Amino acid sequence: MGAQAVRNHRDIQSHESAILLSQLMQQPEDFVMSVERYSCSVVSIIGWGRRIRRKDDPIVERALNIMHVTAQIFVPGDYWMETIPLLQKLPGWLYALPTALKKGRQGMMTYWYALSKESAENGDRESFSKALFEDKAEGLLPLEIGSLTSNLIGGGVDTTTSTMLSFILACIAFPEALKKAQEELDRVVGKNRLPDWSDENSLLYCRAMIKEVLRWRSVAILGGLPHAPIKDDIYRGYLIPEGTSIMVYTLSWRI
Amino acid sequence: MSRIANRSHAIPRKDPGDQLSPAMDRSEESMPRLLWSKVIRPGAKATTSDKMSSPRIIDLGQNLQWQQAVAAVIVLGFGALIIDYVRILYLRLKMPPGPLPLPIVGNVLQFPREKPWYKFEEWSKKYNDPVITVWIGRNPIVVLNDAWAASDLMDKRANIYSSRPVFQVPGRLMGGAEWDQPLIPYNDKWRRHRKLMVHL
Repeated sequence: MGAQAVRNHRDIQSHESAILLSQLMQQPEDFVMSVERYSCSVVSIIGWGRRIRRKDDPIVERALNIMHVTAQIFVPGDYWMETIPLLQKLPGWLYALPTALKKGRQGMMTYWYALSKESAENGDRESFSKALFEDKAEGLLPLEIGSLTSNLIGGGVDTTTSTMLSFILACIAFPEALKKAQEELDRVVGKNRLPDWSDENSLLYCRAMIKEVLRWRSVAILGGLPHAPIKDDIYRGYLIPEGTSIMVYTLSWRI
Repeated sequence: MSRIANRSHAIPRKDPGDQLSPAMDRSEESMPRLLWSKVIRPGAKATTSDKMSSPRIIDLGQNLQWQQAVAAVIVLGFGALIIDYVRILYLRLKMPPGPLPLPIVGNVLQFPREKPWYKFEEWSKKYNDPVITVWIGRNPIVVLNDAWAASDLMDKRANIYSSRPVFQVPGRLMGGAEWDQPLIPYNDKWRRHRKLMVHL
């Protein structure tokens, strides 16, 4: 999503955060799932035109499942199949994991494809799925459509949830920072309304605090998915061959 | 290739113009039979399972051929392993520093499966370099442990460093490199997917 396109979704975010606040007040002990519902709902409205009301919605469940699998699968060296790719060719009765993973993943994509198709045909709201099926999906495989739409979850749910949870953790770990932020909110916004996007430029301390949380507990510890150079490159006298995985350790003592 | 193969099958061996068939006949059939049956195991006898084999294998002796095949595979495999390990060590000399990789497994036995990044950071301190190399099996990964290296490569050289490596499990095995935008290397399909996402 482009930096400009994101601005189009601010209303959705504002509405959902009002719901989040009311849930946090009513059931403070269940704050993790309330936050999870918030980020799932924002993504789900954009992707499928479907608001998520309940915390036990099947999309929330599947989103958690996706992130569980995804977070594991990209840890370097976690599977022997990655270290020794030949193991992927072993027969199923000897090593069932490769086939199970492949079938599980592609089955998941079939689910997202079906959901996208259904919301494109039946939903009356504008959504990414609808746009895809209306004119842009020509020639795309069901797997491609399934992954394009479900990547909204990969990109938008766990990242948002964990950043917000880290923010809550920071507020507990550094109560003096929380107090300063609270004072700023009371001064700029007052006590009679919720903060909205027009307050953004006046809330310097709050913005700095959010930035610091993003640095302090980065959501993608190894810099997200690794990049790779398209040709051999020399850096500081070292060779970096074409196709080498490049990871960035974002919690490093030097960052 | 296929044209030559077709010729040797289609044209009868007596054809004087065809040099290929007699040569193949000598090298593939006569010579091994002569060598193995007379020199290595002169008195090879037929066994009960002969009905299942071709006449040529009876001559050679079934057990012996089986053992030799295994031996050949082991020797060839071992040779390939050594050549490949030399390649890895040679590449390692030119790449950023890091722990010595072992054949086949690389460094994967040297860092924990859970949260390996702590070990990467430790190595970065040990080798006194923000940029280190870690081998996952036969393939290297480069870990950038400081903001300047990250900015130099990912930002300033983004025109080179914006593609994706081969993701063995999610990309190759599960097939994501063919249809899952974050795993597709920089190509036409990636550009199409990117365009769809960016205007969202």
